[in-house]
Order: sequence, then structure tokens, then C-alpha cells
Amino acid sequence: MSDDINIKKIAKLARIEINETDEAELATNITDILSYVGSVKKVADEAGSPEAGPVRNVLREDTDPHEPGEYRDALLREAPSVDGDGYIVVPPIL
Amino acid sequence: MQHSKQTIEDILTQLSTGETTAVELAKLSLQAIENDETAAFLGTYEDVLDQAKVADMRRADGEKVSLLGVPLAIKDNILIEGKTASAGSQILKDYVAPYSATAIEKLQAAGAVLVGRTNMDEFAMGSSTEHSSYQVTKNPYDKERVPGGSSGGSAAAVGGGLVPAALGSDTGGSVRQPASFCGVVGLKPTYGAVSRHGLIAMGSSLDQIGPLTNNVADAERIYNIISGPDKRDSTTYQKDTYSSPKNTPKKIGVPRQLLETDGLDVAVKENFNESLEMLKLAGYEITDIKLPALQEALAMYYIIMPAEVSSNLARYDGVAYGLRTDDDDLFTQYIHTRRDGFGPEVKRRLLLGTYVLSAGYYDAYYRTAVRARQVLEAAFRDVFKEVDAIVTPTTPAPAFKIGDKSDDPLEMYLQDVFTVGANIGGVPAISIPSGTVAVEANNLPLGLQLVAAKNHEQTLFTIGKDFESTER
Repeated sequence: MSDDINIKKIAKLARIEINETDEAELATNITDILSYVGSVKKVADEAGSPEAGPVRNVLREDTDPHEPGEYRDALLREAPSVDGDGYIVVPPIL
Repeated sequence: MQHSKQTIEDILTQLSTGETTAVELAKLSLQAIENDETAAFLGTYEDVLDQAKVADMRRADGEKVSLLGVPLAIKDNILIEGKTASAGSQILKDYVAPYSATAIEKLQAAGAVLVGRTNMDEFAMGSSTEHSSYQVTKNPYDKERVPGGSSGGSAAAVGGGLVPAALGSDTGGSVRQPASFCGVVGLKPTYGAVSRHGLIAMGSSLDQIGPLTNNVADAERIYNIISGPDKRDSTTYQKDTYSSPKNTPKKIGVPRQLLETDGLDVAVKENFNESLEMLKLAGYEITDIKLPALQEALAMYYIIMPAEVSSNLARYDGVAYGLRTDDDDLFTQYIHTRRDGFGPEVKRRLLLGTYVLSAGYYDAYYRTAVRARQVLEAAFRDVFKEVDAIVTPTTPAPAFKIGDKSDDPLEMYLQDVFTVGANIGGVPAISIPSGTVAVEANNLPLGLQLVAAKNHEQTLFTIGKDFESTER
């Protein structure tokens, strides 16, 4: 199943550029790892139907928002490029 | 050179008798870090002495909190407001955290003095700290060897006596394996015991923050401070979610089949058998257990972890923070930012994770691994009805030489063979120093791992302290 690893295709899905010189080695690495992890099948066959765990959501209800802009400056300080109105600048999308 | 190693308890006694001050301790620690030959730290914080002065004032005012004035090191993937946290990666090189992790807030409330950020494998991916994009950390016991990883900087800092304790994070063994290599105690708490708020995410269903310390009592002290439910992390559990240990532990199980692993070093096996004898001397009953699903934990891990990595690291796109390349269109900017910002191991796991989640392969890999994980979780529940804890060596061999495994990812992954089970099963585990083995000219530390049921950290502390106090 894993003999047809197409690094270019996966890299595109992962939004990353891989140098052509690294492609062959990565394909070998990933093929080796996939052949190692294939043994999970033996165990998986014993699984029953999935159950929800005992932990419950503790996040607050989405009400009583904080003041708009309260955290804006602190967060925008880390942005690579910001304009004067507090927007993050990015290159054209289309 | 190794500096004198002190426990937190020793330090607190000296502080309370006035034998030393927080400022004095902070200065000693900063000086030791300055002269450090292991390259454990990526940087020290600029306000260390101010923090120490505040701690001394709090003490003078009669405040009694449990870490007042104690210097601690923090792994580079745990956020402190206003301070750099790079996760060992170029993509976060100049990232300054806009908020603090819950664990950090709790340590600060307890009076700890945070001295600096420790080196780590990039985004916690590795078992040697060689995958840091900044520097290679060396083992304090042998400078030609690795300190383990990914919390290698924290382990070298405590093992080398630069600080009495440090925080690390453990996704597949990243606290316990380096603790074992550097002769210190390392705790991976129950999944959900410690809030992950402010921990830079790697595998969200596996990650836990844990302490590295010089003895079990210190690990317990820090665990008691940083654990507890958090409204900012829905995966933290409440006091009554899981049972607590009812009796003092008596019975310890050995998963014999797992120990038949090909790569198990002869010296490690001998040391492990000696440790079992010591546990018997301390009054424990040792019994063999069968846990076949545990043997497949590493295989489950190398599907589930990269899948979560590929999702979690999607956020590093050069838009809102971190590195950004200069390109004319957004897609090219994404792929170039990630090409330049991530190192080879991160790329490998991103691609692997993307593959196992992609159409046509999701069922065969990811869904199958999740089902296998269910089987292991059930197996742990059953086995902990029979025994109070499971014991194994922490690692298959002592610390290896720098460069020895960096070319073979699968070989590096096998470092985690004994530790990953606890992350996949969500159960707590601790590594405790179990003596040393002579390798070439040096004595290298080894570790004993104890694993218990969810929320049964107390069992680990009880057995661990008994093990520590039994004469070898």
C-alpha cells in the first residue's frame, strides 16, 4: 500500500516545499516507518465500539465577550506585517 | 564540571534559616549557566534577579508558599508572558509569548524564580536534543553523548546541577528518557492532570507537562503545584473524575514480553533485575503480567502523533506570527515559510502525518491506530485491577553518542519503546535513577520506569521513595 509514496503530492497537502534532493530520502524514511507501524492492525481488530471518555467540557459559554481590542495590540505585536489600522498584511490571495 | 546538586527541600531549609537568599541562589544558578559546558540553555531571562528580590521580600513578609525563592528552568515550548519561547525552532525564533501557561502562573504563585529556557528537539520531536535548530546539548556525565530528548536541556540542567528542578513536556517519553540519561527523576503525569494551556502543542492527545528533579519528593512537590483542573483546557480532569489509590501499593507487574525487545542492552537488563530485587527488599511483590497491546504502543504512536503534528503545525503559516518569507502570493509564502522555518525531523513527521490522514489511507492507518489505542487503554484498566504499578527500564540502553542515531529515524524512534505506552494509554509514569553502568571511561546513569493507573501518581511517589531509600 505504501510503495507509491508521492512526496510532491503530500507536500502540497501539507503546505510545504520539499527540496528535490530530499524527496527520495523522505520517501524511503516514510515507507520504512509505515511498514513498521502496520502491525497496529493485529491489535485494532479486538476493539469494541468507541466510547466517550469521562472528561467533560469546562470551557466557558460563548457569552459576555471581553472589550473589543483588549488583546489586539499584544497579539499584533507578533505579526510579521501590520498596517496602521491594526490589520495583518498578506500578499494577494487571488 | 558538575555543580553541587541540591534538592528543593535542602534549598528551602537554607532559605528559611537565612543561610542563603533567593538572590544568592539566582546568582549562583546564572553563574553556573554561564560556565555550562553542556549547552543546556537557549537563554536566561533578563529579570531573574528582580524575581529573586521579590521572592526574598515575600519571605521577609512571612509568606509561606512551597517554592519561594527556588530557581527553576523551563523548557522552551512553555509560554511565559513577555519572554521568548521558540520550541527549538527557527519558525518561532523571535516569538515573544503574549500570555503565560497555566503551569507557569501556578509556579509563579508558589514563588519560583524562573531562570531561563532550556534547549529541546524542535517542537519536541526527538530523543536526543540533536534536532534543536539552535545547538546540540551534551550529557553532563559524558560530553560526547546526548542528554536524551526532547527535554534534553531541562534534564542536562538538573543533572548538571545548574538548577534544582525544571519543567519539561512528555509526548512519548520526552521527560522520562532524558531524565534517565541524565540521572534525574522525571514525571509524566496522567493525561489531563496538568493543564496544557500555554504549552506549544505537538500531539494534543498525548502531551503533558512534567517536572525533572533530583528526587521523587521534589517531583511530587512540583506536581502538586502545577496539577489540577483548568477552565482554559477542557482535557483537564476534575478531582472526582478518576478514582484515587485506596491502599498503599503492594504488587508490581513486569511485562516480560516487552523486555524481550531485541535492542535491550545487557547492562540495562542486569540493572533492571537488580532493581526488581531492591523492590522485593522494600517489601513489594513482583509478578509477571501479560500486556500484548503494549508491544504495539510504539506503532500506534508513530501514526497518531504525526497525524496530530500535521494538524497542530498547520498554524505556522507566516501570517499572524513567527517567520514569514517574502513572496508575491500567499500560497508560495506558506510553502516557503514552512520550508525555511522547519527542520528535517519536523518535515518528516508533517509529511507522515499528512499521509496517514489523507483520503484513501485514513482508515488503514489513523482510524486503525485509534482503535488499537482503545484496546491498550482497556488493557491498562484490566491490568491495574491486578497490580498497583508496572515496572520496566526507562530506556533500552544508556545515553548514546552524539551523531550515532541522527541518520536513522526509526532507530531514534525505538528509544521510546518503553515510554510511549503511558502516553497512548493516558496513564502516569515516572523515571527514577537506578544506578549507573560503566561505558568506556564514564559511568552513565540508567532509569527505572514505574507506570500506574490514571490519577494514581501517589502510587508512583510511594514506590519511588521506597526505591530511592533502599540500599543498593
